[in-house]
Amino acid sequence: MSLLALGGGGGGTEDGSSSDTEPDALIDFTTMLMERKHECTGGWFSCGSKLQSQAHEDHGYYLGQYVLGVLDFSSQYGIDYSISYTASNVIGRPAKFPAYGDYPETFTMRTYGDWWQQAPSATQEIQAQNLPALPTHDFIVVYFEKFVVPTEVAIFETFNPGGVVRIWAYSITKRWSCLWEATGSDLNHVPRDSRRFAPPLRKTNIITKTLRIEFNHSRLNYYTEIDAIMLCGRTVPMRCMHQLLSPAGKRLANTREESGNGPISCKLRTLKFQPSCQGNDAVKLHEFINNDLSKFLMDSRVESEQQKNNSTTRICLTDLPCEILLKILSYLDLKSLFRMGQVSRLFYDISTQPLLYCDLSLKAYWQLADSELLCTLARRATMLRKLDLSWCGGFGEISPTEFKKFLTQRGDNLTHLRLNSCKFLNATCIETVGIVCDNLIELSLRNCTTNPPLLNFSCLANLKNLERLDLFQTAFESELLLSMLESNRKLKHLNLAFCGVSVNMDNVATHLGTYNTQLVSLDMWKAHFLSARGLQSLSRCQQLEELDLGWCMREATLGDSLYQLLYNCPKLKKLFLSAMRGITERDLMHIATLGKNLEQLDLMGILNITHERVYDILVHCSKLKLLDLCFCDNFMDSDFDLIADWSRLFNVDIKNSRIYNSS
Amino acid sequence: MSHQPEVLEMRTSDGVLFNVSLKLAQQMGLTHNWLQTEHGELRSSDDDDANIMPLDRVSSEIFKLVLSWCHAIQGIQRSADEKTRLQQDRDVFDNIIRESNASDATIFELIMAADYLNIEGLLEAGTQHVADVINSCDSVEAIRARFNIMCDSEMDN
Repeated sequence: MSLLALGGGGGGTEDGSSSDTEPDALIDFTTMLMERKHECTGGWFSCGSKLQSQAHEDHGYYLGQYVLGVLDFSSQYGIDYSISYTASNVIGRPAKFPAYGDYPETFTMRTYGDWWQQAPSATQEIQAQNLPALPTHDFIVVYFEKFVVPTEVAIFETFNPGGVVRIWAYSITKRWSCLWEATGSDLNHVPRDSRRFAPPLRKTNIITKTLRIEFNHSRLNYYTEIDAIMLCGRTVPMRCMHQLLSPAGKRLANTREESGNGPISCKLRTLKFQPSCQGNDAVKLHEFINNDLSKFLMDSRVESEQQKNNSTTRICLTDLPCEILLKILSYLDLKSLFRMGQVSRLFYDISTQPLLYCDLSLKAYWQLADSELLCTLARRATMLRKLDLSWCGGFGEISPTEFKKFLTQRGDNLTHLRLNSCKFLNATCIETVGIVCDNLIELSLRNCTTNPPLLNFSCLANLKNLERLDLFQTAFESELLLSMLESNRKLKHLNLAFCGVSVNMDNVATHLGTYNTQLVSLDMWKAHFLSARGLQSLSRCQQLEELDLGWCMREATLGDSLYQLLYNCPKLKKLFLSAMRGITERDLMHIATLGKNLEQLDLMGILNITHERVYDILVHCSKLKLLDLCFCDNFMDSDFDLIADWSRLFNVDIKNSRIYNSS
Repeated sequence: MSHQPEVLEMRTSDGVLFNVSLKLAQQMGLTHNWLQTEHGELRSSDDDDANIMPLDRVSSEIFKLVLSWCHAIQGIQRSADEKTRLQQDRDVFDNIIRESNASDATIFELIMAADYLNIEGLLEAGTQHVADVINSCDSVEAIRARFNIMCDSEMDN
């Protein structure tokens, strides 16, 4: 049923903000209906499998439908095999709406607010100028049963609403279209109550049954939770669908796409123009400047002088020296850079300078990125150092072959590589990374869960300089990880959240304590088989500033392993101990006395915590900014008032389960 | 024995003389060189002309704007955070542009002056300003129109 089953072809590129009428608008429903009436007498058997009246099938009808399945999501709070707080909870009817609260039957993402950006493990965006004003932190891609022309998308938020920033739809012409985008004011003053969020969509004629919802968590006080998503629209009669999906229909749709005016497609066409010399770009530019530039400027100036009015000097943009023009162009986002390249020959030469492509990120253009674009960029990016292809190629737009070719050509000097949620990756792609990119300092492969795991055997054994390895929500073979830990002694940041049941964390912890003592941040969220022994091994990583052990040890007794850890790692700034029920009162006292540098502390679900211990921690941990005490069921009602007072007194953001009063 | 004056005399390309306080002049990288070589020794003769720093590539009109930028920057509390500092540079620059109703040509001259005088903050602010203008253009035609750039016939397919 999914769109991925429909065969190849087509797929031009377009930016989401182009005109209102899409190629699908070519399909004139009225004409079709007329044809239909004249032609067939057979009635409704030819209308597909549904026994509906002919009138319905001819005109299409309005319907609202809930999510049938989830294709992809960037993060979730729960682990896959569980039913709590996972992405699959968004399927079907709302379970809790209109109730408001923190319910495990909803879809919850891993982060909220800006806390993760303030943590020691935070990263910088590559080519940050590409990002929109409200960047996307998380996304989910869902599909529905029936194709419709969308009229409404309703998102049922049951906890901390206000995270949705963009709604995209995937049309049957294989293009993504942005149906709605938030402005700053949309995210202000969202009342803390459950809501059926249905923002006004752009008028469109596309036909879709796949949506992508994007979230930004910056203004959220706590986790946002989604109970259901509804897609409302007008169905398309089966005959129209067949026509659209037939080769003739596709060709019709595609010709419109080829004449699209998007800057990337324009760029693709103009690239047929190439200066003939084969030498490197710097020489080309040099020659142009020496030989042709002055003439070119004079030629253009003759005409512009006639057009100029009242300016006292003649200087214009093209008079600036090339290094300054290069500097200006270096601030442009990638789309504007391509546009600039079409303005004139001079700007084409400057905009294709390799220096402008040292840091390259297509993440913000995930809906446009395809093999052709990679090919074009490969020509320019001869000095590539940092590459981010996260979220790209989700629906087959990028072929593994093209990616491997790109990497082989340009990847040998890469220091940072981010391939989060890249659905086009296969085992040979990862092997290529391992072989070509041996200078990597940072490798991020979040959300690459395939079966069998992508990361297997010794495909990444060649990497020896890693300082950051991010395998959040990615399956990997234990043996590979252990050998990588042994080879990468300089490792500082490691993210193994959601790595699954096949990884024994005690072994990992022992390895870390032996080989990776420079470790600064470690994320083991929902890891399995971590015991007091493993925790004790971690205390040998004395540079630790961030440790996330959420849902790790569950009921297991800690002995004095937590004490050892706190004693040996005084630099700890962020410590997440969510749902570690083995934590005793003594442990809490240790946290207070030894956690001098703690800024973020998560004690969610710790059962025997009392308000005295909370006070202790607040008094002693003077740098504390965040304290999560949700589901600490030991608290009495009266305690909450005290805690609210302390929150103000010590200036600490305290999360607790009494959500009905605003804090 | 070096004599460090508190005021630096600077003369622009059109012959206008400016008395710039040393503190402000030190924002300009070009002056460091000058101060080191030219004022290292006491001039034996009273030839004032030799103590005046020539600014052959900056006109008085532009230099006035440069000075007002430097002056405004001097007056504000400089943040420790690099990003905030860049924003401060930008804000001051935007103010000056707005107040003086600067044309594109003036902005470009300002950028070139910042480059010549080696004032990094001003150069960053100016180039980013132009980049923002380009980013705001929706199409190739819009860019050409905005900056009066001639279209090469070969670029049109």
